[in-house]
Amino acid sequence: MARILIIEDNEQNLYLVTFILEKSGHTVIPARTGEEGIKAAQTANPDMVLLDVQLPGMDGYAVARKLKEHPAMADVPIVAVTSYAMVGDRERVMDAGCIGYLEKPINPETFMGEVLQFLRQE
Amino acid sequence: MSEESRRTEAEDSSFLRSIIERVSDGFVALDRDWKYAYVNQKAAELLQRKRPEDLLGKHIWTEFPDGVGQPFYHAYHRAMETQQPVVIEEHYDPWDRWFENRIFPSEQGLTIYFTEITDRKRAELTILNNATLLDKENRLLSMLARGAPLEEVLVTVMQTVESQSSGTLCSVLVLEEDGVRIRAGAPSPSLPEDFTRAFDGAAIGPREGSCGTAMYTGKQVIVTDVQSDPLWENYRGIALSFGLRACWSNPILSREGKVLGSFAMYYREVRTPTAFEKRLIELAAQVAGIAIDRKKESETRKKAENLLLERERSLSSVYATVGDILFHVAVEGPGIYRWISVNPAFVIVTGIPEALVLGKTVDEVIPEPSLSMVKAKYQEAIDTGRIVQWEETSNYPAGRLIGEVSIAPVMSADGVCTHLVGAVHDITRHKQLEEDLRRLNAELEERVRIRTDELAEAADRAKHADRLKSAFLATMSHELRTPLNSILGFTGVLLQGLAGDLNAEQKKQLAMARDSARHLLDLINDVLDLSRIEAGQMEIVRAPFDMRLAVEAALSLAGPLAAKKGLALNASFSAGVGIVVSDRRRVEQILINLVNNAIKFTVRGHVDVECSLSDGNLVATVRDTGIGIQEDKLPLLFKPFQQIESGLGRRHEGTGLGLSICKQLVQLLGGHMEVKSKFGEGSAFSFCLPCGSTHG
Repeated sequence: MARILIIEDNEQNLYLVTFILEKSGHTVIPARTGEEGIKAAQTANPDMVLLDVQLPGMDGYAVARKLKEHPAMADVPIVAVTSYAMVGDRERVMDAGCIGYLEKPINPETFMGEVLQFLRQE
Repeated sequence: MSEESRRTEAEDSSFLRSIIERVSDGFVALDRDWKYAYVNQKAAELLQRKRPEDLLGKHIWTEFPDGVGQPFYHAYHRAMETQQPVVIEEHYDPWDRWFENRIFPSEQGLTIYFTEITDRKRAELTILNNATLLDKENRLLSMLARGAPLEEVLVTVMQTVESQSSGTLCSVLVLEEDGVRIRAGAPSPSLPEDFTRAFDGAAIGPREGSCGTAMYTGKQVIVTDVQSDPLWENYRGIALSFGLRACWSNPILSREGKVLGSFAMYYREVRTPTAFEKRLIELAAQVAGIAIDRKKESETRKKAENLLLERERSLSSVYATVGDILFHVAVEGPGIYRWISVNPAFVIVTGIPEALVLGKTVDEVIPEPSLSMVKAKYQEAIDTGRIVQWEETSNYPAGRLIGEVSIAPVMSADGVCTHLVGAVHDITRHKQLEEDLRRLNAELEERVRIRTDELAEAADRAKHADRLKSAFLATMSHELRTPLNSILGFTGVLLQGLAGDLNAEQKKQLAMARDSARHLLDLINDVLDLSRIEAGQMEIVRAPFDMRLAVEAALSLAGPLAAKKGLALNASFSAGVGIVVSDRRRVEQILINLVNNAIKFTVRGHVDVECSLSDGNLVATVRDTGIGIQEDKLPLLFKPFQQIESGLGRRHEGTGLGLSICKQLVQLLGGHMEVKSKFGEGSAFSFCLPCGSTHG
């Protein structure tokens, strides 16, 4: 079972994703802002980060870059969760250090499978 | 006036002046106040002055007081008063020299051509003095001197000879211009006209009587007896019938030795001339030659004078009527230029009265800074001997004048520039127009610049608006989908039973809520897709993929809906259809849209997807057996928010954006879309895509 850090500002979405992941037996470390997420990543030793791109204050790209600065995070996959990509979003997400992205809204029936795929890639 | 014609005029004028300078005649112009307005080099010499300038502006009778009361003094006055030309020859006693004057009056004064004839006069006198026996010499002399008519002179010569040798009858024959035919030169005093006229039209030759032979040989011919002399064979009869027996003839020669005619002495008896008579006939021929020569010379000179006068007149009229300023200045010394004349245009254009210019030096009239330039240009014309041109702006009483000035040097025969002839072409208005045009251009440029700035600003604003639009789309995408995310997520989780078991009714209602949420998501996605396409924000990622797999994926997504309606879904691929390079996600989106659409409007039958290759393009067709589309509705099909009425009284489920999005996506991928339909039988939507293929 994995320790998954979720950085998501929307309370309902955070709850939904947490619910699905915990139902599958994973441990969720919730964070509601980028700063909070960076702090949690240093202490909680996650196996994976699910990162909302559209965050208040420090946005997801900045958060991903910051996370990748820490040697301990070098091998931890960061997956962006974004609603609807705009031109260049894909490149920006990859440039920032993510290994891929999941599109919102998530489909509860397939979500778990997609997450596991990213986990296995590492 | 064009620059060329102006130059030609200046050259004409210069040409004319140079003729005047070169003629061997003296040429002076006197104004109405008897002052010299023009003196050519020859005239200065004849009048015993070093340079023409020594006489210019001087009063003739102050310069030549001895002339007062002389015949030419009266002739000048007569010409001035009657305005009729006068020609006079006279002996100018103070210098003991003969002059011939040809005086032409005009309103401006007198134009006089004169030449010294002292040598000719003395030659004439010598001839006549040698023939001291001619007692009518004085009469003859004065006739020659006053230029009496030729015929009168010739008759007098014959009379004189007849009076010196008793029994002689004289005749003068002249040679026609052709140098062959002869005719009577003047009525003979003693011979009958019938006889002298008998030779008119006869040709000269070696045996054509005394005269014809003399003219032919150019030598004196003495025939003592017509009856026996072979030279008279052709004319013996007529001579004898008039009782003539002897005929001595001497050719009349011009100064250059050309035969002009013959002078003959006839006798009624056989006779041999004495030495005196031989000399007499020679002298008579000489005098006749002088008279004929003079007649011819005067005719030639008259023609030249007429030509000159005509040119002068036409130039004068040009001078008076031309719109350009024309002027004439005398070069009196280094840097000293005095105005001799200006034309009416000068007065009109500058507003300076003639009286303030004529006789003044340029220093007195032209203000600085123009003066220095003008004098430098004049000097240049004098030094180079060429026409000099420049542009000048001056302020005159009549206003500002911008002129193109041309100045032509007038050279004397010995190469000294004595005068300058100038022309000024008024280009003030032209310059004004140029200036206006320049200003207009500048204004136009300014307006273009402002407009360009405005456009750049508009472009900036448009770019800014685009950025705002993108930002808006991103925000809307996030804001609209975030709540849907949790609605779909939680209904999904609940329906999966992850949060506990649900009864049948709860499941049914929750499923309805989820379907509505999915429909809302479709709507949002379509609107955002369309907006992104229109904002140029739709991302196209080309990569090779297998078209067959894309079709299968689309069909598997549409499978449940088709199954629910009992419709068969089929896919077929022509040989060669396989890997294409395009955006798989968008191609699938198009296929799903078209297939869902087909299912939506088909009640029974099947929906088929056919893929083939055509001209290197992939053509995909989605064919259904549905309700079809009325032909007049086809053009509306691809417009956003158009859903064509099914005729069943209800709108079909869907956003009305699907086909519009499909069409625009196909275009983004470099292809195009078309539709064929038969109302009631079904539709076929096709799109073609460049395969971009494996080598692309």
